[in-house]
Parts: sequence; C-alpha cells; structure tokens
Amino acid sequence: MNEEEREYVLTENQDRLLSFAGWAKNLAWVALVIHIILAILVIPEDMIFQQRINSLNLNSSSLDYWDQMSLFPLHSLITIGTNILNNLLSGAIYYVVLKGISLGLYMLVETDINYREKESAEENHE
Amino acid sequence: MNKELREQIYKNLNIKETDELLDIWQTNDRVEWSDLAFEVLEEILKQRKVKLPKQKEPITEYKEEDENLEEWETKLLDKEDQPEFYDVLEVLSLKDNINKVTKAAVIIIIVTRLLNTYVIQSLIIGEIPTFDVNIFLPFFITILATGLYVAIAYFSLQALAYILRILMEMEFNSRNAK
Repeated sequence: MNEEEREYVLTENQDRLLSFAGWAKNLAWVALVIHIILAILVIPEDMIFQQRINSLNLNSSSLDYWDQMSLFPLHSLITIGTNILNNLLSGAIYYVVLKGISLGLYMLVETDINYREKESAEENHE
Repeated sequence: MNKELREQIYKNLNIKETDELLDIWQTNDRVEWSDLAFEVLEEILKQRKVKLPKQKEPITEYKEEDENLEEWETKLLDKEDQPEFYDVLEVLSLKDNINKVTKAAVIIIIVTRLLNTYVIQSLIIGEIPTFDVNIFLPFFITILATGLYVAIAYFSLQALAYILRILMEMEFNSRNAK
C-alpha cells in the first residue's frame, strides 16, 4: 500500500495503531539483541563485581576471579549459568510478546478495514 | 511380460473384498496403483457384477502437508486473497515460537529457581541437609513461588498464542464479509 492509498484508506486511529505495531515489531528485535548481549556480559559483569568486593575488603586475598570461582565451583557455575539462562529467557519472552502485540495490532487494523470496505460497498449498492 | 504382470495383478486384486476394491477404485490413487492395475480392477468389479461408482480426481502426486499445520491454517495459507498488513505465515511461525518459548520458560524457571536453593545444591554435592526449619521453610516457599512463576509464564504465553489465533480467524472471516 503506497502513501496515497494509505492516507485514503486509513483513519487517524488506524494509522496510530499501525505506528504502535511498527514500534513493537522493532522493539522486539532490540529487546532480543540486548538480552543476548546481557547474557554474554554476565561473566565480565561478575568479574567487575568481585573486584569491587575485593577492593572494599581490607583482608582480601590476592586470588584472582578464576581462583575465587574455583573455591566454590558449583555455586559459581550455578550463579553464572542461571543468570545467562534468565537473560536469554527474558529476551525470548520480550521478543515473542512484542512481536505478538505487533502482529495482533496489524490484524485488528486489517479486520477493521475489511468491515469498513464491506459497509461502504453496501452503502454504494443501496 | 505384460500378460504375466496383468495376471499377477489380477491374482493380487481378486483375493480382496469387493468393498476394498471399490475403495481403491474411488480413491483413484495413481501413485500407489498403476493404470494397468485400474484396468484389471475394473475388469474384476465388472465380473463381480458391481456397478462402478464415480471415481475421485486422480491422485498423481502426494502433497507434502506440514503436519504441524491445522486444517484451518492450511486454508488460510492457500487462500489467494492474502492480507495487506501482515503475513499469515509469520503469525503461524510466531504461534509456533510462542509454544517453544513456553516450554523453555517452564524448564528454565524450574531449573534456575531450584538450583539456587541450598537444599538442591547440597544434594548435588552429595550432602544430605539436616532437617532445619531455616533451611526447609525457604525451600518450600521457593517451590511454591516457582509453581506460581511457571503458571504465570505458561498461561500468559498460551493466552497470547490463542489471542493471535482468534484475531487471525476474525480477520479471515472479515475477508469473507468484504
């Protein structure tokens, strides 16, 4: 549908809905990408957090991040693993929800237009 | 050779019940049965004094239908009059992805919540935790909370999938109203 047809067919509200649908569609990708990046950054973020804790602790040992992790391997693995999984899951949920909202809005506008076309066809017929 | 083949087909078909032969005749599956088989079949049915029913359109190839698609979904895709603002296939694929995310969400929520409890971590390293209210009370509350999170994620996502389906049906019906 070109710009001229669009102006002729769409009402202001429909145009607004389509705009929301477009935003939701793009935001779905943004949310997915951001959460994938967050999942990748889990380990560096944890390293920075540990460094801050060490700098605050006067009795801190000279162990580096990986040495500290090896002291409690299971706990470290679970913490990092669950953070990564939660970030990926959040990204996937945001993606499908926003994409669903976008497609739902497109379908509503399409349905509305179909009924309006039917009404105008009936009026012309009369 | 042709005569031998014909005789072989005749023998094979002649042992079948008349109903079964009529079914083959009507189905008219030219992929499974050769033209010669249909000639022989016609001959046998005439010998049995059966009135030949009308055949269906011949099946010359098997269409590979996606087993994941329901009948109405295939109908939507086959319709020539496709919607202007959205792609039907995109909605169907999203519906499928929502189902996959729902399953993943249920598993990930259960695994991540329970793995972070002291009881499960102790069990993993082979220690049996002593029965202490301070240990088991948080554990049971975590189990309840996990159930709640799973229910929220499951019902929300499934509701979204059904809303999309209903909206698509509504849009499809409105196309017929045009």
